[in-house]
Amino acid sequence: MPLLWLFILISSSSAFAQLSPGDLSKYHAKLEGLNNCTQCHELRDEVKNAKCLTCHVAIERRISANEGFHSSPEVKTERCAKCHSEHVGRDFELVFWKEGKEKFDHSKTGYKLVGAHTKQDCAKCHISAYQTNAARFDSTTNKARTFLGLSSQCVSCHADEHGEQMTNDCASCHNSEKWLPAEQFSHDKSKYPLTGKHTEVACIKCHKTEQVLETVVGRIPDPNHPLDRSIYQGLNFSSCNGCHKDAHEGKFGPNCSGCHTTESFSVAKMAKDFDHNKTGFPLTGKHVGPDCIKCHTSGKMTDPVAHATCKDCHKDEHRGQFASRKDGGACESCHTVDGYLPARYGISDHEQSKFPLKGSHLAIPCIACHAQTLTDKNGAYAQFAFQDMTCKGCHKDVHRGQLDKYMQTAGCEFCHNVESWRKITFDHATTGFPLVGKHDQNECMSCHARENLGTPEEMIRMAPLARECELCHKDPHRGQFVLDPASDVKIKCSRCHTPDAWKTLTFDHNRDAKWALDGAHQKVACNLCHKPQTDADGAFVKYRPLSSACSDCHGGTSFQKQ
Amino acid sequence: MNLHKFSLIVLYSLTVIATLYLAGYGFEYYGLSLQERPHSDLHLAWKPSGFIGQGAGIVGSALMLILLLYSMRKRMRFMQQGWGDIRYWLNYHIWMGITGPVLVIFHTTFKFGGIVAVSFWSMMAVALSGVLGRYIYVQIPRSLSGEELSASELQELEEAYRRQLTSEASGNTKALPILDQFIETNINESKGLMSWLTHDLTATFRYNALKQRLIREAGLSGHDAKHLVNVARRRATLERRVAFLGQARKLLHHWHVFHKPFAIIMIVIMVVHVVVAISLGYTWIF
Repeated sequence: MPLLWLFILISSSSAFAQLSPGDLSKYHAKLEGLNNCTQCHELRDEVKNAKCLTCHVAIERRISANEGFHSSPEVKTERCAKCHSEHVGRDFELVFWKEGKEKFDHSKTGYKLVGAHTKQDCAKCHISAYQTNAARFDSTTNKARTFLGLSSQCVSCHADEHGEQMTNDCASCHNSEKWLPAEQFSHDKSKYPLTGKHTEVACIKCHKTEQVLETVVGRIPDPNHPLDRSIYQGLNFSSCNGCHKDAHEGKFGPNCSGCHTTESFSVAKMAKDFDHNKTGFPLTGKHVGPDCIKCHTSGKMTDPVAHATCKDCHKDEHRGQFASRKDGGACESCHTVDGYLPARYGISDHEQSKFPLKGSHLAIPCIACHAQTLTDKNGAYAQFAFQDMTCKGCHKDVHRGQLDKYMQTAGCEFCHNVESWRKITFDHATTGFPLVGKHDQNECMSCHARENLGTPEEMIRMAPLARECELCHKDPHRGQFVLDPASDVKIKCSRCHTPDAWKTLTFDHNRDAKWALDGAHQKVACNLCHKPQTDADGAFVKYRPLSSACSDCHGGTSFQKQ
Repeated sequence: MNLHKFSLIVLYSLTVIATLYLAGYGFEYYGLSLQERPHSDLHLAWKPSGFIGQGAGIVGSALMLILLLYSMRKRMRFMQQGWGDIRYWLNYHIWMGITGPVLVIFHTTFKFGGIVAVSFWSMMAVALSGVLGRYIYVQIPRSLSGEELSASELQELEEAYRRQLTSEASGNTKALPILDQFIETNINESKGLMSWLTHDLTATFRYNALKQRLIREAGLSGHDAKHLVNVARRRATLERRVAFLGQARKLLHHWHVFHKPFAIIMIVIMVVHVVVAISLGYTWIF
């Protein structure tokens, strides 16, 4: 009897089914039954991955392509059954998240989650709407459950906010942390690298938005709620006027960058081809060349620059010394834009001044008179206005006041004139010592000698000078005419001599000597009586005293010979 | 202690050690729900097809196949002479009949489903019935070699116990009536297998009560009372078994009818299970 039970029991098909160690999961429920064992099991062998992959073609393709989670090193070498246990019951889930779904190391799938992706629930991405890659599926794929089918292309899940204006390589601009700002984006990589102020401008200032009606994932076109989409393509950036209004209204042409930079509209550079002549201040002369900033000191080329007079830009080097002129000291009266120097103020102009140039003044350089002798807080500057227009205003009194009595009456011109310093028109007679005779023929310096040579007080002695001859002239007579050496009483030179010549004597022997000449003595040569003699200083003539005795001259020798 | 007894101590010790090991180390795994088990790190070794799980299954099954040698020993003519004391065979049969199912229980990981469960429950039935059979078996008085005692041998043994008790209690006139009354009651209250079981399970309490009564009513010392109770217990047991010898023989016959088919079912399905397992690659894992 028991054997009968046994036979009935094990011969029924349902009993054969009971050979299974447990129910298959609901996903494999169709494989229940003895006939299906070898669908998964190899006879006399373990459950081979190849059997699993026979049905799970999509996984097999991924593994063959070395892609996806099942190709990760730690999974690829494992048996399917190690993770996907079976015969554990209908309700057993074959996919087991050991650390929990949320802690799954997504990098093993070949798509590492970073940024905001790490914070998303799995179901946020793994939904059928994003399963755009149907090639990843097979006949076993349950689209509601599978994690396959997603593309790593951002646009497979995310709406293309740019409406195909860009490539699909979203990651070249955006990162996974957040959509905005587009951290990876560099305008430098665009066709229009941003420089200067453009780097600070909000994107939307250039990239305006347009409203579009377009189907994006999860959104139905709604005319009442169009999308605002920034425009990135088709912008006219070849010309500044594509975005900027031409403040000059075309006056300077279309090439804005010739003058302006992106640093600032107002801080403009002077373009090489900028035609300043189109402005109210054509540049000529020395104005051509300097940096614009020299005049446009604010740095903003659009700031008004006063340019009515030179002084609007230039400093008055003359410190207002010409302000009293009729033209108010207008620079252009003397200077031109071709250069500050030489000034065009010439001799003819000087003729019109209060101090016409004459004589030697015509020959000397301006700077000799207009030297930088004045100083103010800004430094030294040349003197052009003079309080004292006399010679002393410029010239030093080399006579050190010796001739003041003359200068008080007529200044330097009493003696000198502008023709030449040395051309003196002095009437020596006014000194009480008229120059006559040989005196009138001598160089002044013969009498007016230099004193204090090599000292600051060096000068030419002009006055007073003694008028006695012996103070200038040497006494060749060895004091023979000094009457009283004690009182220095002597016979004046003029008793005998005249200024005309030393030898032109006014001496009258009969008048001026106590021994009158008469008779034959009148015919005797002087030197017969006044014999030349010699002393330590040289030869001289003995005039006195001479003996008046005849014998002292005539002696005992022949009379005739005397 | 003879070698037979020593070997049994060793074998049962091994059974206890194996049971404690499997229960202790497998406690965490067995405590998991079926759904949780595949995800446990222990699953690989402790699942039915794992190293430990399948190992237990293989050893347990082997033991239960080996214990059939006892049946062959009883039935095969050539094994009935010169193959050793049949009681020893039974003891090893019992040890294998206990240890085998214990190991198979661990092999099942306490998951009982499918046709192999029939085998399992048959095994449990066989094992439990084996325990019961062993109980019925001992109800039939046997010689040391395990052979049933003849009627005259029983009578002689009964007389010997009676004389021993009378002589032991001769010094105390109150004790003997108490003991006789106890033995008579013991027989009177025994009506069948269930009452035997009840009596034997409560024997310790009842003999303790008898001992106290002897001390209290017969004025015996504790030592004497204990000695007398032991003698009385041997006599009471024998007298009860003699009184119900026919019933016991009948029960043992019926028990065989119960024990054997479950054993067959168990073996057949177990073989099917093993064949299927081997066919699907779950081969020898050691």
